[in-house]
Amino acid sequence: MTDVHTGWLFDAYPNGKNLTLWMLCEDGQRRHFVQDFPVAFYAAGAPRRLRELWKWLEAQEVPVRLSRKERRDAFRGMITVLSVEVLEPARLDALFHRAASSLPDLTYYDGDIPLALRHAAAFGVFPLARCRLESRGETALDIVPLDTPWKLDPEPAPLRVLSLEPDCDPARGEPGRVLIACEGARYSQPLQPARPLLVNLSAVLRRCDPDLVLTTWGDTWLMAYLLELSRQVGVCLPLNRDEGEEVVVRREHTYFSYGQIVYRGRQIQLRGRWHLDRHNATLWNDYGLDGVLEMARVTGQPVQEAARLSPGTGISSMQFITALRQGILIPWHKHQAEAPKTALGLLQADMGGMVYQPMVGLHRDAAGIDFVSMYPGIMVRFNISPEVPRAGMDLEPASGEPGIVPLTLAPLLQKRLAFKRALVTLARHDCRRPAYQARASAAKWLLVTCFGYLGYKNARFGRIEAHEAVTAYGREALLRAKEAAEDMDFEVLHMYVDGLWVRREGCGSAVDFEALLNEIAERTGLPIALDGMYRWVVFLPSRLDGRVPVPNRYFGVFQDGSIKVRGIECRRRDTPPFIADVQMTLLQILAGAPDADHLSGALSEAQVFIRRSACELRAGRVLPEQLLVSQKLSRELGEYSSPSPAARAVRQMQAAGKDVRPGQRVRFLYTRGRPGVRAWDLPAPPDPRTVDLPRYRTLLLRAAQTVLAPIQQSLEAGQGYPGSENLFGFKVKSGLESDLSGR
Amino acid sequence: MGRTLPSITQFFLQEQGSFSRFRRALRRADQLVLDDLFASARQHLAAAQYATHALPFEVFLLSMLLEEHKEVMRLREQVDELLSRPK
Amino acid sequence: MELRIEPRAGGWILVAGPRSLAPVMLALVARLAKQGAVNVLDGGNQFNAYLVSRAVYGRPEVLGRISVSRAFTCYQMLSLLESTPCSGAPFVLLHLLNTFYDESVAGWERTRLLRQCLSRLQFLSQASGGVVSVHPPAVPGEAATAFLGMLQAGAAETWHAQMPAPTPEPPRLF
Repeated sequence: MTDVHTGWLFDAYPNGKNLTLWMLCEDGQRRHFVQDFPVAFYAAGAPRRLRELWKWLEAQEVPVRLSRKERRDAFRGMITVLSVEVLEPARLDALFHRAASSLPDLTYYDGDIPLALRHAAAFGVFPLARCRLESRGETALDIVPLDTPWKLDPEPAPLRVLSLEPDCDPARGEPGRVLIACEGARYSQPLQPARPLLVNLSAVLRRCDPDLVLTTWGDTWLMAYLLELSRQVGVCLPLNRDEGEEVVVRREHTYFSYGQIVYRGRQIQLRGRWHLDRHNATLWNDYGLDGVLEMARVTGQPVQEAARLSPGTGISSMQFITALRQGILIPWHKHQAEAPKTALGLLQADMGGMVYQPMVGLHRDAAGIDFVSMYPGIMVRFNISPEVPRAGMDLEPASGEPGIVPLTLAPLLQKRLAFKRALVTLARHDCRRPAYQARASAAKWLLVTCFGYLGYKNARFGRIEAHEAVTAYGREALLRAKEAAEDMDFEVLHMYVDGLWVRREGCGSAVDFEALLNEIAERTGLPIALDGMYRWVVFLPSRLDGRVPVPNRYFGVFQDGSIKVRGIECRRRDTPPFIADVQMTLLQILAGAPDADHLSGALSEAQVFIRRSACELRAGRVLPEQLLVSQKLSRELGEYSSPSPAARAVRQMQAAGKDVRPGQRVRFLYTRGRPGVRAWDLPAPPDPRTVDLPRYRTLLLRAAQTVLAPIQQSLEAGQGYPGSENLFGFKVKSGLESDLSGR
Repeated sequence: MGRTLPSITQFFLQEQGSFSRFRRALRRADQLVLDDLFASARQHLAAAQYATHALPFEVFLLSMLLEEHKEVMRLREQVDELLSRPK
Repeated sequence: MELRIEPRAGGWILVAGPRSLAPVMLALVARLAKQGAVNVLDGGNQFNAYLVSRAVYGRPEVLGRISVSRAFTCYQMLSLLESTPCSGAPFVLLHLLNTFYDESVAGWERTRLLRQCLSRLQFLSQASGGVVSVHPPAVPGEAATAFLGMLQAGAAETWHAQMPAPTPEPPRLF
């Protein structure tokens, strides 16, 4: 007798024999099932060697079903493979790696695909998908999705959340209490004595039965602390809903990615429940839970994984699901080397996006226009995929079967465009806005990483030629946009990969640019939109040489008064908060001027503010916390020939017994004399009198110069402010210095 | 991520650096003029890269000339304007 | 510094030296390209086409004779060698070991792949020979030393290049 359950698919993970599924059912119950789920990997190569693999596999104790099959390799077409179906899914990993070690010369496929992705591909489901599950007792017979990952506004699952937060940052102090919140109740409990804490937590877990345990510093400290406590005291904590399984602990590690050191902290994952750590969830600050759930939804990765994804994993997950559904073999290693080019060909192909040198100075009534998700759009429209042969370079839509990459990206891109359209039409206070924005951001983040992934050396479906083709199309599109603008008498102020700034006398509002946008869309075949209308925008020159324009340092005020800033101090992560705040305030003062004609008044106000801020600094009224510099440690301490300030601060941390790994940030103050820095997160607080005030004053004035000097120059250069002043050649003045030294 | 060719800016700085002996031997005032010439070439690096010329320095020279001529044209306009003013 | 090496059919020449050797290898490519076709296999992301172009005065007919392919992983390196045809052109393989220093691939696997690469190199050098450059890793290790040993064993000749010290400043008068 079969039962039918409708609800949301909550989790899927392997157990000893098959797959455990959890479902959040419509009737409010959380139910678990088991499902048989054999999974397969494949091997190709010399027939003699395949026979040896066959014999080797038969001799292993893992139950498998072996057969010869014809399957499609994306690059080589249909090939003969040995199909190895492993009946107990948890055992595939180990068996596969042993096989690959024993017979390494064979070519392997579908070897290291996460189980959740296989399941998602096989049944068309995904985390929190609405579905219908047919069961007999505990055994799931079939699962059918009633949902797609591409819905803008899916019906939300009624998640129960338990929140746990230590009362201070464990890396910087000793937490004494933990804040507990569940079902509207909030209270705190001391961490010691341990037994009452554990007994209470255990009771809370059983009573609330949360779906999500949301912590702060849970991955890096709290969960491990609680687990250890539970072991020591002997009180069981039912963190897992599935008490037959162990809590999953993943160790921290450091790795190289795109020439940068990246540090990944420890992770603690639960079974039957989710554990998410606010401080260890990629982009939690930007998207929150909505974004994480969206990430899980579109990538197929389980929620606990989706929250901690590194760049590239999200996109590769999506590609794997596409490949599995299309019946295309997923190679274990990327084998394709680059097809040969001539030296001249390399000169032509090895380029990135077009990055222009802006017209330095202040420009009024400028419009910023951007291609929407240009690179993914190019991949989809022109069918750029590693396995699709390329023909010419004209911007014509490609015919023929879509390749894996465009097939994967197209629905995601459509969803992003749909969100963008929806957000424009939704009222300001529509309660759906935050969720839409979070989901749109998740989609945007994935799309942004997919281009880099296309060229990534380890990407299974990556290829340098495809990567180069995308940038070539991008350059062509940008140039056609420039030509369209110039044909329509617009002045092109700046261009940057997928966007440009233009202006034309008499064009002061969005509607004046409609015709241009249409013309560009027509000539390029790619969607383009107005990023915003600036009252004025300033493009800055190089800090080292005022004659040299730089592409990525600018600030401007939109017509609605909002500010856009790139590349200057307040946008840099290592700028002390005090200085970033002052610079931001200066920008806000300037933004207060109704238009560029009234900037001189704003400039005076700004100068007054700077003098006041410098006074506060000199008088010692700025808290040390506001003067903290936060820098990443870029390499092991031993590798520095002359230690950077960050390295010197890390040495101090190490002397105090606190380790800082390359890729992590360290906070410090600049102090007088040697060593010139004082790490912040040491046990004893620093002496405020040692702070190197003159150095901070220099930094403050420099940050002020960045913003005020171009305005000053602009006022001095023009009478009656002609539309665009090209201030190429202006020197960064030190008017502020003389202003202040006179006091 | 597969970028093998140095960026056009990096290459430009290397080319500029290869003239350091020439620069050193110039009089100070002439050094500043040379610096100005190189700075003017930096206005058109994006186009120089897109040009994919086998010898980019030729494009840098052309850029310097372009900026020089711009200045000449601007001055010519100014002179004409001054000369055409009634006494 | 100029590398006065001539590739010869029947075997390949190993040039080991610091990373500052890279431009010298490119000068070698330029010199060979003036005489005929050259196959460049770039395992170290070193093929600065600007430098090569300058060395041949930008002449397109010379640049057109240089064929370049890049490998970014040791698997790709082997693939590259296996897909390179044995032609009448000598090869120049830049920094063969770069992709083999990647410790995310197991040591025994890298050894296996390198062995296959060397075997293919021997085959490719039958017609017109070739030159292989190699530089030490950023962090020295046993694996790197072992790999270098394998290369030396497979090479017909080995050159150890030492880059000359920078020209000293003329002595100050005061």
